Parts: sequence; C-alpha cells; structure tokens
Amino acid sequence: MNCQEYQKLIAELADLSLINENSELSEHICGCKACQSFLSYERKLREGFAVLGNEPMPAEIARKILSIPVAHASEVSSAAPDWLEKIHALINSLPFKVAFASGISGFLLALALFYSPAPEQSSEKLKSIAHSEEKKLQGVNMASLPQPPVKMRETGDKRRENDVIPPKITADEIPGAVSFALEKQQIPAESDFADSEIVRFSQSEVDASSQAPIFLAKSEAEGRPVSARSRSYLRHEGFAAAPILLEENREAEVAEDVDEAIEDPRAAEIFELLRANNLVAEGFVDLEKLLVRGYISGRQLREWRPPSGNGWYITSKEAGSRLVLRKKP
Amino acid sequence: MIETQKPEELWQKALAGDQQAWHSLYEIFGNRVYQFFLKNTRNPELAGDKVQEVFLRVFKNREAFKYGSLQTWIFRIARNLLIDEWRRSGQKEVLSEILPDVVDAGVNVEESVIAAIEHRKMAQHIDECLDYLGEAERLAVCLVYIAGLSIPEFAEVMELPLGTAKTRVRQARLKLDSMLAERLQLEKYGKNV
Repeated sequence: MNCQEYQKLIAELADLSLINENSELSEHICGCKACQSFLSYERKLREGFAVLGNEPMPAEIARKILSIPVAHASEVSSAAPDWLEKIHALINSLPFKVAFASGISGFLLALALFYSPAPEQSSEKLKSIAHSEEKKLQGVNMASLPQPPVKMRETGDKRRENDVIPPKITADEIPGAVSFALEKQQIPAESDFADSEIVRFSQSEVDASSQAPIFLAKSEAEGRPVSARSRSYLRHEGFAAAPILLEENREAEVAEDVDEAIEDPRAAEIFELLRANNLVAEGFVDLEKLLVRGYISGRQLREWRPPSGNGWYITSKEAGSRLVLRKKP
Repeated sequence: MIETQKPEELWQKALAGDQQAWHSLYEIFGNRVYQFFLKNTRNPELAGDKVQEVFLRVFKNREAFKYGSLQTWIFRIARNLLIDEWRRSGQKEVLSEILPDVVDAGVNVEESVIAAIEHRKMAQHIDECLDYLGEAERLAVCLVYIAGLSIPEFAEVMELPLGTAKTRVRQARLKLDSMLAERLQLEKYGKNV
C-alpha cells in the first residue's frame, strides 16, 4: 500500500478513531510525514463539516416539526367517520333540501285541510239538493218503501202522547196535486187559445190544475163552449188524470160517480183526515204518499186503498159542502 | 438516556406517542437534514420548508418503514425532495451518472497551515467550496460528511451500486480537497505577502 491508498482509506473511514483498530494503517501513519499531515487535514476537515452540520435551523421550523405528532393526532380525533361525512354531505345537498321543504309543506297542508271547518253550503245549493231528492222520491214506487217506524195518529181530535205530529203542508204540497202540476215551459203561448179563461186557468198552478176537470164540467153544463184546441190542451200530459171530464157523456158519469162517492164510507174518513191536518181536499189523493209522510197508518192504507191504483180523486160538489170521492183512472 | 438509544428504537417510541422520543429524533436528524437542504439550495426559507416536509412525510408514512436504517429512510426522502425541487427550478442536468475524472493530486498543504486554522474558519472554507461543486458532488459531500452517512448508506440513499457510490464520494472529495488546498495556501501566501 502506498500513501495514496492509505489516505484514501483514511478518507473513507466514517470515524477516524477506527484508525487504531487497523494496525497496519496506524503503523504507516506513525512513520509517514505526508500521511500524518493528511490525517491532520482530515481531522480539521471533519471538524469543519461538524460545524456546518450543527448549525441550528430557525426556531419556527423546529417548533413545527416537533408539533407534527400532536397536530396529526388532533386531526385524526377530530376527523368524522366516513358515513357521518356522507350523511352531512347529503343533508347539505340541494335535492335533499328541496325534498325536505316539500315534505314539510305537504304535511302542514294536510294538517290544515284536516282541521279546517267544512265549507257552508249555500241555501240555494241545499234547495237544489232538496228539489232533486224530491224528484227522485216522486219516481219511486211508494209501495216498495218500508213503513216508517212511527205510530200513526188516529183520526179525530184525540192524540196520543207518543204520536208524531206530521208537518203542516200547504195547498201547494198536497199529495197527488203534483201529478197535475203544469210546467211553465209546457204552456203554449196565449195567442194559441181562443178561450182566455182557459189560458188563465192553465197558467195557474197546482190548485188550478186540480180544478181543470171541474172547470170543464162547469163550462159544458152551463152551455159555455170550449174550443177543441182547449180540450186538446187540457188533454196534455199534466191533465191526463182527468180524462173522464173530456168524454162525451161526461155529465151523466159525473152524477154516477158522485153517487158512488157519496155511498163510499171511506170518503168521509179521508176528508176528515185531510181537514184535520189542514190539507186541501181536492185533486188526487195519493194514499201511499200520505203513508210515507206519516198521515195515515198501514192499516188505513189497506182499508182506504181503491181496488186499483194508489189513491182517490177528491173534488167538491156544486154547493161546495160535500165531497166526491173518485178512483183515479 | 434516550440519546443513547438507536434511532429505530426512538422511532418506535415516537409512534407509540412518546413526544420525547420524537423530540430526540428531531435532535438527531433535524439540523443535518436542514443543512443538507441549505447547502444544496442556498435558500434558508426553502430549506426550512423542505425539512419540515421531510418530517411530515416521515410521520404520515410511518407505516411504510418496517425495518432497515431510519437514517437512510429519512435522507432518501430528503434527497427525492431535493431532486424534485431542482427539476422544478429548471436544473435538468442534475445527478448525471458520469462525473469528470479528478486527478488525485494529494493534499499539498503544509502542516503548520493546517494546525493554525480554526475549525470555524475551516467550516467557512468548506461552505464556500461547496458552491463550486456539481450537484452530484455536493450531494455526496453533504450526505457523507455533513449528514454523516456511511458509504453503504450513501449508496442506498442514492440508489447506486456500492462501487459507484465510493467512486462518486472519492471524486467529490478530491475536488473539494483541491479547492480547499488552494484556499488554504492562498491564505498562507496572503499572510506572508
């Protein structure tokens, strides 16, 4: 080994104190001035590097480096789990906010609708409903209806405590009179009638319609002429209930019917019932309607019912004090 | 007592939450890593950021260190950061594999000159000479003589064969010795003149 190789070996030593462990190297250094000089240089050089390596770094950097574990630990502890972050992100998303607001609004609206009072129906609407129900009732076969569970009031002035007082019905509401009601749109123009009396008569309503047969009978009995057109009009649908008055031999039939009516004991009972209940005793009397409205009992219906049909036709005689009871055709 | 422990033992304690062990690791490696960056960048602020980043990466990637030399692992991270910084700043020709041959002219410095110089003055001369070294030579000098790595550790950090690593350190050292000899002789002559 020459000095160059020894010096290279010295330079590669990590620690110069290791020279003593290499006896060959240490012996050579002891006997070589150049290598001793190089070893002195090497020591000065390493001292110089040590000085460079020990120059401190800025305190701020040192503080940051020393706080790395603490800062990282706080970040880990404060970090939320993934699922919690996902839920948080979902809540903060716009679609979720819109859906949530819609749901709340819908719920409040449902509550408001549930607790809001029912709208008041106008009297006009109630009237129309009543009118339609009444029309339906007219179309119903009364015989098929169940009997009302009320006790019928006995005829006469005696009233039981448990009796149900039927409602007062005016002349316009008389049962059977409806059958003769003439609708205004069915009335022909006034100029179509030669007989102005008939026109006035026809334009009146229920009471007048019920008097149509009487009027015709009176007119023909007194010799007053009734035009064919008026007769045809009186045969109209609304007056079809009085066909006997339009017959040729009407006067004789009326007399015959009156006799039959007078002989029928039921006439007085029916008339008494109608008068006691302040009902007009003219026109067709529908016994089933009287039953439904509570004026007569089932027994009375069976006793008073004619052989055919549902009721009787009641009209006044000329003197006005007696009644004629006729079967409705 | 903690200072006598190996860096790897301190590292295990630091991972277990021992702040004092972490502090000891900083005392062992902190200034050396800082000087490594400072001598290679000449930018104290950048060196501070880089050394901080090194320790941050070491801690965040602590699971990656299973065995081996902690010192080697730390300086490999530092070296990679430095190369990235050089490339970012436009220094493309860093760490070329082929270094120019340096003639071993020996250290022709009189014994009296060497004996008279103070170690601080010597440190100043070394610091000035480092600027005249190439990047690869400066890296070798810094890692071996400032950071205190052995030649095998240097080879591992630089990912070089051991022979290549020895040659690189030797050449860097010859160049540095040459420049230092001139400076020291110049100082002697300056005094004499």
